[in-house]
This record gives sequence, C-alpha cells and structure tokens, in this order.
Amino acid sequence: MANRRDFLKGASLLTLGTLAACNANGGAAAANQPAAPGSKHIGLQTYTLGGELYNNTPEVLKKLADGGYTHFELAGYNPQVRGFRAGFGQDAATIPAADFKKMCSDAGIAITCSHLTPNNLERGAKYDASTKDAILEYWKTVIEDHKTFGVEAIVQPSLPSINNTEDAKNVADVFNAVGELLGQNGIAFGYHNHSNEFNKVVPGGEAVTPYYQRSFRRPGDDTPEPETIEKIFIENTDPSKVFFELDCYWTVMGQQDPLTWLKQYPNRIKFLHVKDFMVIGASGAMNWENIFTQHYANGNKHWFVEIEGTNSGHQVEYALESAKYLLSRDFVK
Amino acid sequence: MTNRRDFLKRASALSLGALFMDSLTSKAAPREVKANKMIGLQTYSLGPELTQPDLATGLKKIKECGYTNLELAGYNNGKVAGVTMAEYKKMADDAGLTIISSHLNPPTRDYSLSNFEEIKDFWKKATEDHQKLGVKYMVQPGLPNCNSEADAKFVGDVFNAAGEITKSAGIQFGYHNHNYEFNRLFPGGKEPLSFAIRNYRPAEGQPMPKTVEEIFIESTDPSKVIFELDVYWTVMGGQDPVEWINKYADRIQMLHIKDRLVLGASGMMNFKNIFNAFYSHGHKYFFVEIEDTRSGKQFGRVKESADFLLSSDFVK
Repeated sequence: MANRRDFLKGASLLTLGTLAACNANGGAAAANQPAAPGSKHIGLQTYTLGGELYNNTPEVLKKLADGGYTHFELAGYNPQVRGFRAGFGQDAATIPAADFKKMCSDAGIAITCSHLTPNNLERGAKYDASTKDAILEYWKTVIEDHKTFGVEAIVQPSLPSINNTEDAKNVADVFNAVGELLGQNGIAFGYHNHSNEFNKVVPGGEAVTPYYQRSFRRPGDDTPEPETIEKIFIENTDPSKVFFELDCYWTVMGQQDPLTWLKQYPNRIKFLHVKDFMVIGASGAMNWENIFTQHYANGNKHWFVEIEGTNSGHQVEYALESAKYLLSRDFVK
Repeated sequence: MTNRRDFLKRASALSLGALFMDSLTSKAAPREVKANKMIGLQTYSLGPELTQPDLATGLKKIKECGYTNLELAGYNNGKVAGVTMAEYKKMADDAGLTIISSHLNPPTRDYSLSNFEEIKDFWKKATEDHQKLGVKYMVQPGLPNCNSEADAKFVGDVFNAAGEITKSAGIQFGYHNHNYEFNRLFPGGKEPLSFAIRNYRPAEGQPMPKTVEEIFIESTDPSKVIFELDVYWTVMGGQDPVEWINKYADRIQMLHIKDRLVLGASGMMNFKNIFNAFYSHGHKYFFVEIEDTRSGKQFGRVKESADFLLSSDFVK
C-alpha cells in the first residue's frame, strides 16, 4: 500500500500534459517516477563496492539504504579473521562479523546471503572424494559467523577445475555434501555462475569445448552430446540441498539466454545476480523486464545488483544510480 | 508530426484514471500496433519460406507483416534468390517494399595483393548488377581471415577500394559484423586473442591490442565505408552495442536488429537503449534478422518481431 500512496502523491504533482509529454518521448510515464527507497526489495552484492565499503562503513551503508538497498549479499568474509579485512595485507584493520552485522542492522539492511569459496585447497585442485573432507572442513569454519549475520543462504561463486562430465558430477556430489552440512545449520547452499559454466563437456573428455565454439554433429553420430557444466550441476544436485543463483550478465556473456534458463529450471534457480555492463539498465544488452517478470513468476524474490570495475572510485555512485533505475521500473517489486 | 498527432489522438481516448491503473497494476500499457513506421527486414531471415510458393508471394507477405524496407541476401552472379535484379526490383515494387540494401561477399576470405584485382572485379560486376536494384547500400557480412593487425588493415584497404567502386555508381559500401570482429589482433600477431578472454592485460608499456572491428573502422575512409552494427552479435561478442553506436556515431550508420529469436522475447537485449542511441545520431535504417532459417516457422517469427517494433514507443 505504501507504493500506491507514494505513487498517487507523486502523480498529483504532475499534470496530464507532463504525462503525455513523457509518453510521446518514448518513456513510460510512471516508470520515470522512482518508488520510495525501502518500498521495494532491492539487493546488493557488496563485492560491487570494492574498497569504498571500508571508507567510513556506517556512512556508506546509510547512503546505500537511503538509495533503496534493503538486502545484502556479502563478499569477502574471511574465516581466518572472523570478519572482513578492510584493506590489503596482513596489517589491514578488520571488522569482526558481529560489528558488521550491527552496522547493517543500524542502517536497516538485512544480510540475506554471502559469497564464499573454500580457500584451503591447492590451486586447481579438483572437487572429488579425495578433497571432499577438506572442503567440508572449510565450510564448518564459516557457519557460526553466518548465523550471526542471519543469512538465509551461502553461495559459492567460483568454478572448480573441470575437464569432463565425470569431473562435473564429482563437483555436484561435493556440492550436495556441502548443502547437507549447511542445511543442518539452517542455511541454504547455492552456486553462482560466470560464463565458463556454459562451456561443454563430454564423458572422458580431456578438455572443455568453449561456449563460443559451434559444434556441428553429423547425422548418425552416436557419441554423447556435449552438455554445459551448468546443466550437469543443476541436474546432478539434490534440489533440497543445492540451489542456483543465475548471474544474468555472465549467462549472456556465455552466449546463453537467461530467460531460457529461468524457464527451464524455475524451481532450481532461486536467486539472480542483476548485472549489466556497468550501471543497470544503461547498456544495449539485458532485457530486465523479461528477466524480473520470469523470476517473480517462478515464485522467487531475492536478487542482487553487482557492478564490476571495483577500483573505479565511483562504485557507490554506480550502485545508487542502479537502485534509482530499479526503483523506477514497474516490473521490479 | 504524424507521431505526435497519433499519440494525442490515442491519449484522448484514455482517461487519466486508465493511465494510473496501468501503473498501479505494474503492467506495461497494452501494446498498440502503430502503422507508418519505417521497419526493415533482412530477407535471409525467411530461409526457404521466402520463395514458397514463389518470391512475389513471399514479398507481399513481408509487406503484410508491416515491413517497409528490405535488405537482400543471396546475391550470386547477377541474380538474387534465382531471379534477375530487375525482376526482383519489380516484385518488390509491386509488393510496396523498398530495397535499401543488399548483403554480398567476394568469392574469397583470403585477401592478398595477388587477388586484390580479382576482388575489385567482383565489386565492379556486383555494382553494375546492384544499380538495377536501386539500392543505397551494398554490405559485406563475411569476415575475411585476419590473424594480425596488419592483416586487418589490409582488409581495410580492400574495403576502401570496394567503397570507391560502389560510390562511383552512387551506392554506399558497408561492413556487417558477427562476434569474431571483437577478437583482438596484435601488430605482428599469428592468431587473434579471443573476445572470450576478458582478463588479458598487456605487458607494461604495451597498448591493449585492438579489436578487428576497431581496426576496420579506423583504417577505412569514412566517405567510402560505413558500418552496419549487428547488435546481437555485438552482445554475443561480449560488447555493449550502445557503447559502439555512441563511440562511432558517424561510422555506424545502419543496424541489424536481432535477438535470440523473436525480437524482445529473450533476456539478452535492451532495444530501447539501442534505438534511442541510434536515432540520436541521425540514422534511420535498420533490418530485422532472425536465425534458425530452416525452422518452417520464420514467417510467424518475422511477423511477431514486426509487431514488437510497431508497438514499441522507441521505434520511430
């Protein structure tokens, strides 16, 4: 109802003439009026902010909340320091998990999710029976602080080393075990893609087929059809243990249509990364209306803005511009 | 002015309340198909359906879908889709369609000094033929083999020569990209750096290698060569079409308007931003293209795509 009241208040300031002019110029009249900050459920992946997050954190959080952000997905939690390193190197100041949680609560921002990847394996190590215990050990070290944060979910954003179908299925088995462990602690486990999840693999293969390489199969070819890593992950994980966060931009960069994936796996893809070339809605790519409409139709509500270029010095500004765009779109609830 | 009149006529039919209701129910205003827009079709989209049962019927169906302009595909030695240029033009005229442009490629992808004359001869013959069509543009959609920056610059020289030939007949030469034009080429390189490699950083003091598309644009004469940006293949190449349209505002003069399949139905393209940028630079010609040409469903997709454009405020 806040929406309706705010809209009517805004609308009463406009004459019909103004509305008509907006339409004639190719904009939808109402879409140009941002909804009040806080009236929509708007998430931010804090990776977006780079070092700017730690330059007077409470003030940055207040700016983001005032700009419309209501939910966070964290990045950069470090179990070694039980919180966040607010800078580079071992000497950097740290913000303990409980302190960060309090700052977010004070700003009125809920912590819904957190991105984490096990960092106790050798570089390039495969996920399989031989590494599974070490991987689970890592996850055990993050649970307590994430209960403090009050997250609904933890999401792994990094792709383990995979050359063939067997590798991908082994990763799925490990994901199931991680999902079971976190689930026992009341936290859901998810996986977030970039573009390389749309590379294709075959059983016994020595290397992936890159997503941009067209493969033409001859009629009568009875070798197994190459499949995307993303599909193998989805179809070989237990829906009660593992969900998926689709990064819409990286899906497009992987030459796939995010809408096709949202329609094909409505019960598995529960979170989105809303990402564009820079500020959301400013490029010639990404049909956000179609994406949001399908995500909500699937019964899901969480999504997080992410913006690259984290060293720009303007990340808070870009995040606020993106929130303004999202607040002013009818298709964002 | 037609736009404004049409809008006011339409607006008067709506009450203020109705405008509010649309916003409150957070649904887009019902799509209304608006006539009198200039929309083009690349005939490749129709595959074999274009000539079933015959070309004259196919062209009339295109017009009925709402298209006004055509860009042809399939030029081959004086004919397109098996009929002479003069016959094609007559059928298009009869259907009420204007042939603005035509896609064609020289017979080789390996350009060198030894076949430069042969390629020029192709463009001379093709230009003579295309005068009979009355086209404004002749556009090459096929990427010649380029492994180094020097290769791409030489292709630029060949494009300049082709542009000079077509220009002598009053036709503008252009180049159309797919995604491999966003590969990067090194000055003395042996192979391209794939567009899919996004974390490449040049060694200290070295410039970022340029994309094939940049080298083509920057090494061709603006009076002889224009660019037709395929916005979908630009996205597939990992690039933002709006950035290119704005960066090369005078060079990118036409667009291919393409989506995964039917326009506006995927999660991949923001056509509003694309059209706004394109029109803001004073350009007007664009052509819808739809893949999967052997689906047997192309006319339906071509019609749905026209409906999308006719009902979108941002298309003039």
